[in-house]
Amino acid sequence: MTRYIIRRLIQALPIMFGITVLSYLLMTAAPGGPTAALALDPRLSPQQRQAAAARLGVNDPWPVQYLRWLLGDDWMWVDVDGDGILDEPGTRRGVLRGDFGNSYTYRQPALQVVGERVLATLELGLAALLIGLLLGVPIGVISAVKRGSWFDSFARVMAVVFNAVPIFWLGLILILIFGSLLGVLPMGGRCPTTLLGGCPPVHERLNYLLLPTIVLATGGIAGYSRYLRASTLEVLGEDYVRTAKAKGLRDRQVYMTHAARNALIPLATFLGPAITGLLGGAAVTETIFSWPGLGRLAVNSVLQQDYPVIMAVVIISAIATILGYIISDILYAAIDPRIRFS
Amino acid sequence: MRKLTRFLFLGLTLALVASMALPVAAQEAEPPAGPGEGGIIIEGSTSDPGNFHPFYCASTSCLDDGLSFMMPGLLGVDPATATFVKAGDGAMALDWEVAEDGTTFTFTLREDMFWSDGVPVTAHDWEWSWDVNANPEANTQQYWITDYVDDIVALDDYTLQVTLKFSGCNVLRYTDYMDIAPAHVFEGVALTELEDHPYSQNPNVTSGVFQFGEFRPGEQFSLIADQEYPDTTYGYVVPAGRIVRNVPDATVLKEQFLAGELNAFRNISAIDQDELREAAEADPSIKVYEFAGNTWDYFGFNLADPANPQDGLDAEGNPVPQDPHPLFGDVRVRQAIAKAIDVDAIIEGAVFGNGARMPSSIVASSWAIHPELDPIAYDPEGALELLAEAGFVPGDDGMLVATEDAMYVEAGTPLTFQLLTNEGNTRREAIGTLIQDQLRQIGIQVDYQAIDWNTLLEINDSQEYDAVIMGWRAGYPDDPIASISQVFGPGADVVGACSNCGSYYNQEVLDLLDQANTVEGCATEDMAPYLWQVQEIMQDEVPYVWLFAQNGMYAVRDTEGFSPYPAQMYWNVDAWAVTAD
Repeated sequence: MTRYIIRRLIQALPIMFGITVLSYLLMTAAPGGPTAALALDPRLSPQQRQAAAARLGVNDPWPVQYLRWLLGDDWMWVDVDGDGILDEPGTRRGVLRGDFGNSYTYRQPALQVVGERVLATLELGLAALLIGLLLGVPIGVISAVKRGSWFDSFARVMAVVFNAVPIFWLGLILILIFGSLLGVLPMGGRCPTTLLGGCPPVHERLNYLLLPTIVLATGGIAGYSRYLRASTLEVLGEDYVRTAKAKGLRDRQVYMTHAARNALIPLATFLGPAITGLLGGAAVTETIFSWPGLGRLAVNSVLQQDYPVIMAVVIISAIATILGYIISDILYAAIDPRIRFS
Repeated sequence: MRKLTRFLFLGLTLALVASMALPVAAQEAEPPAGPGEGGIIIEGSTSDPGNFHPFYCASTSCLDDGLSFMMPGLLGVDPATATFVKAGDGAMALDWEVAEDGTTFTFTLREDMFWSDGVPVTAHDWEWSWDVNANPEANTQQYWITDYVDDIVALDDYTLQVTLKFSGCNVLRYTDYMDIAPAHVFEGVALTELEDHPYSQNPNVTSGVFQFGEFRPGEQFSLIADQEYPDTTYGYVVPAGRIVRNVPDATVLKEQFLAGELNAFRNISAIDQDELREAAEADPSIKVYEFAGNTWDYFGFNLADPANPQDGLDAEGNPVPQDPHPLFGDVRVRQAIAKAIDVDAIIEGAVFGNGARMPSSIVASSWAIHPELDPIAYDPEGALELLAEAGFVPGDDGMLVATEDAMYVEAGTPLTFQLLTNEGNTRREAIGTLIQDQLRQIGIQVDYQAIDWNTLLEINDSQEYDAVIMGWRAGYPDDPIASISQVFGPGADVVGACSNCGSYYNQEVLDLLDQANTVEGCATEDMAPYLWQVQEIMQDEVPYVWLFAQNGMYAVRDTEGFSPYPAQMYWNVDAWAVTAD
């Protein structure tokens, strides 16, 4: 298995390279540019705006910008004052040497900016994933076992509703009901508002986590329940289930020991990417609930064309996705005895 | 007897007035709470500050919500008159002198202002800040000030000399364009390391009404009352601190205020003002303050040919003749469109009446506003007459087409153009829809599109457009000379990086601005007449259809001491007290 993982990781390198090239190309092709917003301050002369763009290097052709991002600029001369003349060697070491550059907006190392948001994103994403699985999987299995019952019908209707309701609308409604009207839950944020003292441990602020988790989990509950219902129904028609029933095993043993294990196999296909995909964040939910997560940061960075932060998020998401698929394959092999690494 | 009666009546009246007035006076003089006992002011901001270093702050949140409370400025502003004053609160300059050439200012600084670590704030902080900001290696956000400032030198600890690149009545403000940082904190730090210095996330040495508390990125930051701050109303800072939550969704921000989670709310959009007003009427704990706003929207024409965009000046600084826009190159077409737009209806439709028409680029609160210049009146009939004069008459379908008399288009060309604004801005989207509808009524077909903000900026910069709906905000204190020359001067007409993207040029306007800026004594009442002429000329030439300035509004709840001025909500924040838990 170790060899398999190493092989997959090596195979991932060209994929990573391709992702970064494509992302950089798309990002720099987008209209505007990081200095476009300077137009809103008329105190900055056109020359200063052009100089600011030159200092950032965003006027260069995209392959040059990409190479600088990848390899750094300490091996080349750069235009420090934006006058179009190369002045001295640069100071950036490039992504390959761990330097993701400084955010144009936050004027902080991009990796630090992203890192500050990772924990909040994982916190919310993990809670939503757990709720999605803990509710979605049993609902799906029960719906299949009790096919055609009122429970199955109700679950089906709710799955459609959960999938159809826009997250931003649901979020605002929940905020209005539980935050504004009833006043029982905070209207946003991740931690209590305090002058000093930082953010307390998560178990002391579960009330902040509740509403965004519910909103984010609705899609998961709907998806997992329908997926599990379909796969359980398929398994229930298999010979070995019939055999188990014929042997006189109790229903619970049949469904939980024989059926459920096999019905869960397809779940492994998307569980890996789902776990690592948590890092992608949930921009809409994070925005509505003022949650300081990675998704919100990514969207803002795209809007502000903050190239270093966008690329840092892309790299993290790409690595997470690739790892997710590897985890998925490993889970598959662990659950399904028919699959072996070779 | 009659005299005595009159005397008694007068005495009683005076006593009554005094008895009514005295408690009010006493009440005003009485602090609402002791030092730091005034609770915590909590408010929200849709943007995340990200960085608190004065040199690298790149958002309005870090500046307006954070640094403006923690760093000393050079010039004081009287909030009542919105003018620079000597020895103003929170400012370092006690007095200043201007040299004969008008470019060298020598400031005498106060000696009672200290950084929060006890080190005095001195002229050397300014000199060091200048040395850093003027050096491109430091890559600060403020490098642009080198366009205005030539040098800043500390003559001694409390005497500062600022040399500017320009002279004129409006240049005093340039001396205060630069934000400073405590020099002693950065001793030995290389210029290239300043940006990544921990001070950016934790500015632990400050000098203002508040000190820095803590920063949770994307979530909130807090400021703590600095009881050593010398310019307080009662000799101490009443509130314990101030927290600014990052609430990215504007609707949620408003709801948080209405639900009592926030107790101060500014940047209230014109669309939300009715709701806030009603809330204040229903709930006495909510107070709102309304004022003539300084943020305005315009319909901007491209006067030059979008197929051949050119800079306004050549390499030698001479004006470059521009090919005219096929439609808007003719001033009569611009005037007609201005007459055909019913701005009052737009104010009602787009911001529910919470706006004020503008006759020119000058906001109503400015000293330079023309007292007798009315906005262009809605006159669709007059518009049609002008268009007929310009060679555009109704075609078979009722829409206007060019005749042989049209100046820059061939006969038979329909009068149609593209109008762009930024999507997501509901106010501007409504303005665009209403303008499209109003112009269609007189036979002008408008291809109106609300597009992505960055795309709009790029198209605007490229000057390859017909017309845009965008906006500006007047500075504080207002500097109409700078703002008009920066937005309508040929130097700002640079393809790819313009403020004068519509390529307006009028030498007479520039001359009048220059005359206003060189008036002897620089009294605003002497400068204003020149600016009135500028407004008259520009209203005639219609480079913009000036639409409206959104009304301004501030709101607080459960807060005493709230006594704002236009664009100055927090001038006395040291005296505020939050009365709710």
